[in-house]
Amino acid sequence: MKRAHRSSHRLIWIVLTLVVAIGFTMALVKRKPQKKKKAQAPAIEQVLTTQIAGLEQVSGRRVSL
Amino acid sequence: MSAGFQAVQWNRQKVIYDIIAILLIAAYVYGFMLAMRASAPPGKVPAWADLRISAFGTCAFLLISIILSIGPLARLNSIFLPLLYNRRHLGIMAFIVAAMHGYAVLDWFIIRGSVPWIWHEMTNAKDYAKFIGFPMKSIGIFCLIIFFIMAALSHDYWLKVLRPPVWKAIHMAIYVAYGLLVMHVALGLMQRDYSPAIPVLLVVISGTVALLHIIAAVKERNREAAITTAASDSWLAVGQLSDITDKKAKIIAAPGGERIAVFRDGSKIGAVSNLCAHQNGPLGEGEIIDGCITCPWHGWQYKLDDGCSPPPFAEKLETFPVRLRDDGVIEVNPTPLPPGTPAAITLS
Repeated sequence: MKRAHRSSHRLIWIVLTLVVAIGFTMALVKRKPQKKKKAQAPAIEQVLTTQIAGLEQVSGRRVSL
Repeated sequence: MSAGFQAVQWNRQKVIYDIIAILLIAAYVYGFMLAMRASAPPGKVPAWADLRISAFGTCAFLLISIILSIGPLARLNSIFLPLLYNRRHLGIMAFIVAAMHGYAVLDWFIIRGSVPWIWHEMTNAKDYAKFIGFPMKSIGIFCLIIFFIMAALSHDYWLKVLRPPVWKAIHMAIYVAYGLLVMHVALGLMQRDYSPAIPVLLVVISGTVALLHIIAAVKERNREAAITTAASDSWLAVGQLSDITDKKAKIIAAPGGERIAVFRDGSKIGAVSNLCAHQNGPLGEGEIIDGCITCPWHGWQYKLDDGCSPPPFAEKLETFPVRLRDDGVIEVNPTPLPPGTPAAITLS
């Protein structure tokens, strides 16, 4: 390699590493926060809620456990 | 070497190199898709169209990272030189894999009948002012254009037309393309997929590539500091005959820093430019094989006597006058002679 090529090669990698490191860090820091999944009710509770709603509809009265 | 034009100058080594590379690429792409499907939880098995995008994309990124690591690895340890020999074919394969990634993305939009969305995404001027939300597909297309230019100009025909310094300067665009590729992933996939593996792998792989280049550059700078540089155009002392290992070279530098390789073949001493006529490879790091100076990069050869390639090849190197002082010290005049001028001397 010619001297000029060797010198530019060295400079490019240092500059490139710095620029990409800054860009990557910004991309990571400014990333939108992950949407949390809605907590699902346990299966047994879901079943009971459905059954209570059904009973209330049939009896016409409020049912409580 | 340039004894007439041929589309590809195949030889056994290149064929083996290419077969191994193609098999590894195919194994990676199919292995990646099968592994992703097998490891996905039931009900969330990704579609083949999605997997193709990821498989070709990660493969292209890995290939380009490997290609960029071969250069510094070969400078740090000659054991990696065989990988350098056919690196250009690997580069063309990387371009094809990257193009397959691009096609897989296009096909994904075709399947959903939403091709105009790509155009909308890339022509929305407001997004170009954003950092998060920057049209990362534009970055990918820009990288692909750079890879295409380099693949198209990779043949020795273009190397000869453009001359090695210009050709090498054009090919340095791969460094910029690699940086953009990291940002293509960081602003694209990393913004949608919150798996910690993505930033970790991105840092480890691209960081290793950058670190290898910086370590090789530091080693090269130290080597440069140890080279004797001529202060003027006067004769420069190289050392005694025993200071040069037989079949090897001692490197000195002309005023201005361009290197001269002073080779010894038994009792014969010759000085030639350190730049191989092919790709400006470091001739002084090569050795004398079958009586010819042999470049460590691609095996191009030159006679020690006059710096000419053996027939039927026609390449010539600049040579430098050599003389022996009365005290046994070999001296070289750093003013180059016209390429192909006989200048080697035999010590009695």
